Amino acid sequence: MIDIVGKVALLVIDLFVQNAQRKEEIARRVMASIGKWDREALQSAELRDMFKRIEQKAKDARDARPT
Amino acid sequence: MKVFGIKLSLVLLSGLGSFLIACQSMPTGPSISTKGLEATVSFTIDGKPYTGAATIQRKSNQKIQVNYPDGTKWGLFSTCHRVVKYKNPRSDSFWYYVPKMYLENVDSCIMLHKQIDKNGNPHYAIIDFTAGEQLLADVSCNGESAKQTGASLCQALAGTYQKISFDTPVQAYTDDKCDPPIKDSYFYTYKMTVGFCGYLFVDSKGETHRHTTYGYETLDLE
Repeated sequence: MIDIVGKVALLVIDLFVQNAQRKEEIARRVMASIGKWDREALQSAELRDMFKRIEQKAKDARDARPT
Repeated sequence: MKVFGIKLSLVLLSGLGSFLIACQSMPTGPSISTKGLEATVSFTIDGKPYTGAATIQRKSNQKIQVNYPDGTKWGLFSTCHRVVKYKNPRSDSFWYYVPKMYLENVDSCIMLHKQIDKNGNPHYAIIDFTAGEQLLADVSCNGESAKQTGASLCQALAGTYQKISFDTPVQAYTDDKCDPPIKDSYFYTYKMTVGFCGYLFVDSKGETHRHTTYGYETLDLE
């Protein structure tokens, strides 16, 4: 009888601990992912800068070509 | 008393065992790097469906609806001009995107979407918009071929070879950090660089085709 009660009690505690750890892990991942977004969000502007540099290269090449 | 002690120890050990098993079964996600994850989120623009990455004809007002699975924690958007965030977005939420004049409606200004799912894992979508370019290209990307006017976007595994071809001779330009395109008559091949890269193709009349590439290192299998 004591065995069964003890096992059930431990399982219930395990479930609580497991659930709390799972929630904590998810919250940690969400925060880490949001933290990365600060940097990721700039990629559109950086790509625009890259195309500006490429356009300048194309313009320079065109200007250097003999007419 | 001794027997009771042994039994209690066994109970404690079984509890510890189940706890360790529970710890091992906690969700794990792929190792994410800023530029490394495949874009897989499905979305519609003015009702037309797309998955992962697409080039869209730019309009003055576009209804963007992203697929948010149940329990999504964040929906994030960014362009070259702004960042927009939605906490706990509903599955039917949408955004009327009105590009800002002289900022988002000119040149390259892709829209990045990141969503963080119920387990804290990120998923992405990339939307490229045309900006008045006119040159037609035949784009072979990740096993698919499509004719695209003015601008195109290719998403594929970094390190793989892709192809873009034109009806007329063109000059190709790219940035120093990108793999240089190799010319073979009217088509060019290039190797996918990790992250974003830009390629510009110009024909003899000065018409251009703006080609954006996104090379990922990690497949999004979730």
